[in-house]
Amino acid sequence: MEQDNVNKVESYFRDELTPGEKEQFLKEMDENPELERLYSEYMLSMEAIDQQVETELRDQFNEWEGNVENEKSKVRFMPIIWKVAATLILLAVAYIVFYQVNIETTSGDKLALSEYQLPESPGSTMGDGNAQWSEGIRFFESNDFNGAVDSWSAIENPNPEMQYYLAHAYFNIGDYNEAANLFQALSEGNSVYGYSSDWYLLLTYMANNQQNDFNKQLARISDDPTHPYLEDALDLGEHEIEW
Amino acid sequence: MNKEPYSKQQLFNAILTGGNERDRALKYVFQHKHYRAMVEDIVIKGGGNEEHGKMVFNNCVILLDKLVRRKLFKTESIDEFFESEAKTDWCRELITNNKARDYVLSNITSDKELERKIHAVIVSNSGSKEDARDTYQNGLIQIDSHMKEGKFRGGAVKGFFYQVCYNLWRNELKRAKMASLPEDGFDISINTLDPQRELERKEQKILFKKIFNQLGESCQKILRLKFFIVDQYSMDEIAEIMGFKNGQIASNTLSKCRKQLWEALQQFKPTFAWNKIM
Repeated sequence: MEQDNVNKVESYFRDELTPGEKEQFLKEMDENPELERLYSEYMLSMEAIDQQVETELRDQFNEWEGNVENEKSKVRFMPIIWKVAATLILLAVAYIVFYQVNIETTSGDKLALSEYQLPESPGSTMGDGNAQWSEGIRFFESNDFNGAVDSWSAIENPNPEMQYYLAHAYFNIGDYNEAANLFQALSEGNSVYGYSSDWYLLLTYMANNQQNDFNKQLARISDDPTHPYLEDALDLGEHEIEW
Repeated sequence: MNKEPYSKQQLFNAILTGGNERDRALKYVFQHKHYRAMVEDIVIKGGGNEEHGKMVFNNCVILLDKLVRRKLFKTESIDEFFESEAKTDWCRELITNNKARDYVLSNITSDKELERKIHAVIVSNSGSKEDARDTYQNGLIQIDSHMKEGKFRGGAVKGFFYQVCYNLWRNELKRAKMASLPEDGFDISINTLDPQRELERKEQKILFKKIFNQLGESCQKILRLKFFIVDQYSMDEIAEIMGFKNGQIASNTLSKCRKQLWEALQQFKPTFAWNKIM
């Protein structure tokens, strides 16, 4: 009985009921105190969680605002920071030369793979009707990236979404050159995948040990203070990478 | 660079994925200059200042997250959402926030050009200087109560004030059976926000937070797993995360925790009832 009521309440909150069913549900609630209480418990639980989430988000906002301020001051005091940084680098070099200290380094490919996050499957929202695209999605969702590459690379005139996911499939089979070509094209284009491609291109260069390209790409992202991947890129740049 | 990393659907997917994906998506929205500027503009036109704009923007981002998590986001575009919600939220704030209302009033009274314009329309329509002064003063009293009663529906507050004064003088002329001013099609009788409900909302927020914090840690955790994002986890998955033997045990625990929360609320507010229309 309780489970029946739970199902009804959950359907109501998921907005799965037709207007008629909704009316029926509200009527039933007036006559059934058990159902009314369950509804109240659900409402309260959701509202209480939302209050927690709101508090967390407000703290997060303060932190993000602080970050924006920090980024601004970073730009403002850049010449001083560069001078200090140059001095520190000289000191560090002197320290290494004179005291032969071993600095712990990380290999680029390992770091790139640990930073890499596979995007969620595109689902079947765009490119519907394209059998190769749909087939590739099924491969992608089952982590069969070779299969995804086979299906998607055969698509003629792929749209940016297709190119973006194909680039990820190439990345995941270790074909970094193809992945880099696609990410680079997207990064220079005007599609919604621009910022993400900037970031993944950076990781691809790192995974492929392309130090010069990595540095150029890092500088490119760093030049844009509003870039959503700025912080991640700066964090990545701080690692001692073994090329 | 003028590229958007998220389409509306991608943004929603990221929020519904939770964790870092959600954080990144919300941070992107929070730092979005266009959305922020749009909200600030609406609030400043509505008589507020930049700080008020910031507060309203934060509220809008919180609401966006909530609606997406609950799968209740119905607005066509994110732009539209910020535009309509900024207006509503600012009007809501004006119902309960005396200081914000005072700020709006001082903003109106410091606009001498507006005052002259109102005086001019009254004096050129059979009014004396004294009538103009009285109408202006009455207009301030009336706009204050309109804001308190949720009758201000957003938009330019100075324009709204001008219309309030215009209507006051038109009614005065009608009463005195003098030549009337033409109708301006301006109707402030529709009340879009319920002031009583807004006051309760503020009170409820504090209460819900308090009673939730009284629950044990595992109850807090299971309620969060269940209600943070709609359908993120099945009962079997919740059981696995919580270390329960199976989904049925998770379901029973969840039921107990829901009841505990409701009973805690009854201690503070035994007559509490929800408005059932969502």
